[in-house]
Amino acid sequence: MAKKSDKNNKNKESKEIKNFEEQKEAEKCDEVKEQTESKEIFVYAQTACMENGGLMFHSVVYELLNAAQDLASKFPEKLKVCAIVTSNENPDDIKASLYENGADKIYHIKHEKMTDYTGIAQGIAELCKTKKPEIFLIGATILGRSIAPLIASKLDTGLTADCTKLEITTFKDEKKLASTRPTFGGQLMATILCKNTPQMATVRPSVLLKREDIYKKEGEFEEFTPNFEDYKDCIKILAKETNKNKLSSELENAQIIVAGGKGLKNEENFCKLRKFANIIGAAIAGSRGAVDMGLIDKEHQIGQTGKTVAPKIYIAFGISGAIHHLAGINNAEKIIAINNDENAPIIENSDIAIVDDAVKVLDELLKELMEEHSKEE
Amino acid sequence: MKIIVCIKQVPDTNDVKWSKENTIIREGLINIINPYDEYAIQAALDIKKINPDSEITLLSMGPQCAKEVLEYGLALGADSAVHLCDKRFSGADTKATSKTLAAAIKNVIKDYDIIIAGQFAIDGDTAQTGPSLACQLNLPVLTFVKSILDADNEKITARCEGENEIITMETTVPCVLCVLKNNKEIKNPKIQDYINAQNKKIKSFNIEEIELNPDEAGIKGSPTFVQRAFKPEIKRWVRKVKYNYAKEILSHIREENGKEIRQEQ
Repeated sequence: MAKKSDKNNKNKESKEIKNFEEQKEAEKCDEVKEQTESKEIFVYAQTACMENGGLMFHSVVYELLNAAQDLASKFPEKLKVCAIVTSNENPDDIKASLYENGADKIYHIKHEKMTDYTGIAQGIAELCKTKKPEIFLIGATILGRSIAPLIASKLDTGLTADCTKLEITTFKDEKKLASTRPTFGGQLMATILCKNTPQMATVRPSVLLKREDIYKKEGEFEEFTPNFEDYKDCIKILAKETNKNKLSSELENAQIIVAGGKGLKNEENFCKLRKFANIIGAAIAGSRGAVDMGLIDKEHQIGQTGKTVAPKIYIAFGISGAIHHLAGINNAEKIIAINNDENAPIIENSDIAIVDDAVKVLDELLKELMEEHSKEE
Repeated sequence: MKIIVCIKQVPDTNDVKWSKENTIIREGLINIINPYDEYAIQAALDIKKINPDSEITLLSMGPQCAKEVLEYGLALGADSAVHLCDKRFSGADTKATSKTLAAAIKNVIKDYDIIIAGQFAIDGDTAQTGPSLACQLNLPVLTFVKSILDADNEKITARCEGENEIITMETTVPCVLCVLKNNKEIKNPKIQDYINAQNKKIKSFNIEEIELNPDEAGIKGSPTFVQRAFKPEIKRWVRKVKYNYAKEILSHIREENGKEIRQEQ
């Protein structure tokens, strides 16, 4: 069969070769095009509503823009950092803050159907299909963790969840995003790479730093209208009510956090802790143990299943420091631990350790503050 | 109504072992049902209460021992169970997992109205498999579901946790719901429940039976891979304070507050 080569077959062959060459030519053109257009890193610019109804960006957006600039600079030809805005409201007043924090370009995706997670994911996926970003970073907020898997699935790529560190590594002669994340309840760190593009990651808020200086005052801006042709409109938002969660954002921004654990034993001692926090102007938090004992609200829980915080000072009273708790305070600048058990993990993981009864130390602190107060008077 | 509940067996131990390929060795660990999935089963049972003709099918991918969580779920009150068991499923990331579950739902279970999954699994903690599954099946999904308010053959209404708000949403059926834990107490099944559940069937399927291309499952079908796994570092220098506790603590607070005042000036 293979030896048989009649005229028809030859014609077909030469046609195939021609097609192949044409295709190659076309690919070359594509390559040239790709080379002239610099590759991009996308950062999702999640918006939040302020109390006065105004618009602002979630603080994680600025952290991600700064991180993206750092990643972009590791490529031989610097990648372009692009902020992806999906708000249907006009972001004109606040978009300067994106350039200032590290965006080279803003894509504003606009579509009336981008109201729920599915709609937002659809719009963003359409932009990705057109622009083919190299890397895509999204804050690991509730919104971020809901839309990111939808976008990744639509683009048939991989996604690494809730990362705490981002680097560029060389893997098989290629520059790749290396995302590190705590796994198994914070017991192990895993650095994860992705074979496909975009290499997507959601990143835990309050872990990376936003830049201190102003990056630029102005940058590129492009509006994008996504394709919603095959989109099924299935979800309706019926009502929104404010969560009492508001206090938790106070925790995430607090400079000093005072936290109590099971070692405080009862309500009375926890009241002392609240008093101490009030006097020094600190935010109050608790371990899972304290929450389970009903000493403090779940919204104030620190750790893997609670909030991640990054205060200047974290003072832990009677917290043993199980690994899931430590996962939430890893980024505190200074940890002061008070625990009567010398072998409690928190002692080993602190900067200042006091091995003594937490209630006794609390009493001492309050006494000291009272005395100072009376002296001042 | 036909309800599918996706559940996962997770290790419950501090002694995590990794293979040479940097994936988790699951054999030999003490295993439990992922705590969030218990609430997924509970949510299905609640829907069954409102719609008594409902049928609950459990779906789990995992090695032989994963049958334990299916038996547990059947004892809790589910009607039948599907176990996806094949060496070629192992090492799957969230994409490969959701493709595998989707293939089983499309080609084996076929008939369904609601798919319920736990929002998180406590081992990987990615919160991605549920939404990805919805995408693979081209279904709407509600995430961070705190409670289901109403469910019938046409729509589901649920309260979901949002960024700083609780959002009440309605979705058409069929759909996927990813549920959080709530305050409801989960009752452990009694021995009698296990005995009653013995007649319920657990059907096992391999990759050919769910009509999935082996290139799309397990390690092969996973775009993400673990490059390195390591213990978290402790980077603090512990200084033990032996006396004058209060003065020591207050001096740190003053130093910090002082910095802030200087910055404001």
